[in-house]
Amino acid sequence: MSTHEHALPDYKEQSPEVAQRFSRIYERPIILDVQNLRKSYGEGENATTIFDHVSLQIHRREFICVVGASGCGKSTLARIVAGLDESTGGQILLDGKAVEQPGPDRGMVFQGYTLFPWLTVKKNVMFGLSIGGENEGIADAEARQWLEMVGLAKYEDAYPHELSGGMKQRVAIARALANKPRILLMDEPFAALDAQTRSQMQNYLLQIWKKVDVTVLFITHDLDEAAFLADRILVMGANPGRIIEFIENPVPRPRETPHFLSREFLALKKRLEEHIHPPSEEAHDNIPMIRMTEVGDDVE
Amino acid sequence: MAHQDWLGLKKELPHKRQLQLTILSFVVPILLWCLVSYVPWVWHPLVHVTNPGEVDYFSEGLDIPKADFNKELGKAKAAGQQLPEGFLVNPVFLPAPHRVLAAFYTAFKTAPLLPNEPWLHESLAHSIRTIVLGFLISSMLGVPLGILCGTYRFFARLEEPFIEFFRYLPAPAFGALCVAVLGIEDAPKIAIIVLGTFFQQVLIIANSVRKTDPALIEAAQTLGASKWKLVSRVIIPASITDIYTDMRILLGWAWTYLIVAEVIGTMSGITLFINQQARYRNFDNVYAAIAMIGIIGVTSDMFLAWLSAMLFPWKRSRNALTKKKPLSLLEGAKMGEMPAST
Repeated sequence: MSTHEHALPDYKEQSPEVAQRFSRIYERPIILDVQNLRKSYGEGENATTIFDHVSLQIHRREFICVVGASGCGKSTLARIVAGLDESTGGQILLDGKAVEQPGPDRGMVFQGYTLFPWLTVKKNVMFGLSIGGENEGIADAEARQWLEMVGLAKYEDAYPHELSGGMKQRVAIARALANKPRILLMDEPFAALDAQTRSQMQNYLLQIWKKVDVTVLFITHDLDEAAFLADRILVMGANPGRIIEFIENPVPRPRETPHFLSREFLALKKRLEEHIHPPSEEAHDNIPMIRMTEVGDDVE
Repeated sequence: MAHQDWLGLKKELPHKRQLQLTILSFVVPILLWCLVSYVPWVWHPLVHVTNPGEVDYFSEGLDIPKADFNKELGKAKAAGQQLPEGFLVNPVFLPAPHRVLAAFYTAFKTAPLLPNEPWLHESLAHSIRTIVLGFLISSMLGVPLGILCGTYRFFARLEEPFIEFFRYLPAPAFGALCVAVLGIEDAPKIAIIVLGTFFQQVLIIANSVRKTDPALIEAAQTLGASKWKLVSRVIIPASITDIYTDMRILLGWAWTYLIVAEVIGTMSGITLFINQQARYRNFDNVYAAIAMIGIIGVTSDMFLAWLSAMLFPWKRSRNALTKKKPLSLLEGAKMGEMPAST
């Protein structure tokens, strides 16, 4: 392990292409501007702070992942941006305008699929458009297009319960994107899927993101997922929740599954691991050794 | 091993076995009834006198307790009188199954004794009209109010405490009041059904509406839905199948109020028929009429269950693997919830 570690480059080292890509990203306009956001429950001495001093700027078509130990408030952050929860301080600007209520300009994909069970797949995708008063024929055509994009055109008349978890989540993504949101918020969208489907979905998501002008704020606890998907990774710490580091992902694009073994990927992963599972914490976590078997000493 | 399958804990039985048990659930009580009716030494506490002999208070056609008959028979033997004759019967209020079965047909063909009395089919139609009207009036008010209470805390706090109190007042207790206000014809009867159904309806529907998955509401909000659109496009469709099931159960309750309602003012409908037939001691007709209420109830419920599958296609599974057959006639209905006032 130790010899391997020494072979890894610094996670801040970027190839010229990657560095260029970042400078191009930073030239793009800022879509989402989170300023000194704070969330706490209760008042006075009983107040519990979920997170404080959270600021970040997300540029157009950037893919941001937020990782952090449980309890750091990463999901709450996404919910506040969506307008589903209220902050207790700071503000959120979308295209320079403060947001407070939920709205169609911020699409959201949840971990539990949240498809409307009484609507067919196509009607689910049309939901936002028809709420917005779009002509039925146009909404229908657009929904088809989005379903084609996520590869589910032939399931347009199926009901959600007839789909697998991965397919449901693809419909949820199509439904959110059909509304043409300025930013797509994804709250651990693949956490409930099995490992194989999850990696497939990550690939799908990158393909979709490549074709669509959308900015993504993706909450996850899966470090591999963050390293595979993100342009930049926001690492949050807990107790109280705060930003620890905003890391530029050194892995070049386009990314494919073999990148999981690349040196940049491993360097980044190591850095993330250090943040999320500090060695100091692990030391206290050892299970006391109590022997309850007399055979099988070779397992050690 | 096979016999264990019958009693697997929480295990679904094969469809064939479910059907067998459904049939058995009807066959067993009917067999018991047959046993009591057709096997002379089971029960049969009376003797039907065919020949009074010289016992002075016996007459042909009289039913007399077995012990009294034997006493008189003993006395007559001792006195050398002509012996009374008779055979063992059950009391007149327990007719044999074949007579009740026949009554299903003959009750419809029996002309009423008095010209102003209704035929059976007229009685049934009258009852059904009363119940449908009562249920419709209750639902027109109760469903919207239930949805409001389930959706908005404001209405729930404003309405539910009073309704919670009111639903403990037994609807029949309002009988005299209804007659005083609404007269003696159908109106007070309909009012009793409304009173019995409405309050339960509001609370139950409000509860079903409250169970709407909040994640669906949030998802709709992020898609741009707000206020009324959240209610009409999310909350109502999300709870419509539960509301439908609630209505099926409530309709069952309305039937239990019907019999009470029909004795208020001038007796009417199936209750009138049952009472008249009991007075004429046509107990076969009485049983047939009671059974008809059950049959109408179950068939209308089965129809509503079938209709539910038509109306709510997303509740149907097209996937053969997860396809489930209805467990019973009352598939989907929550059993065991009874109105507080019965």
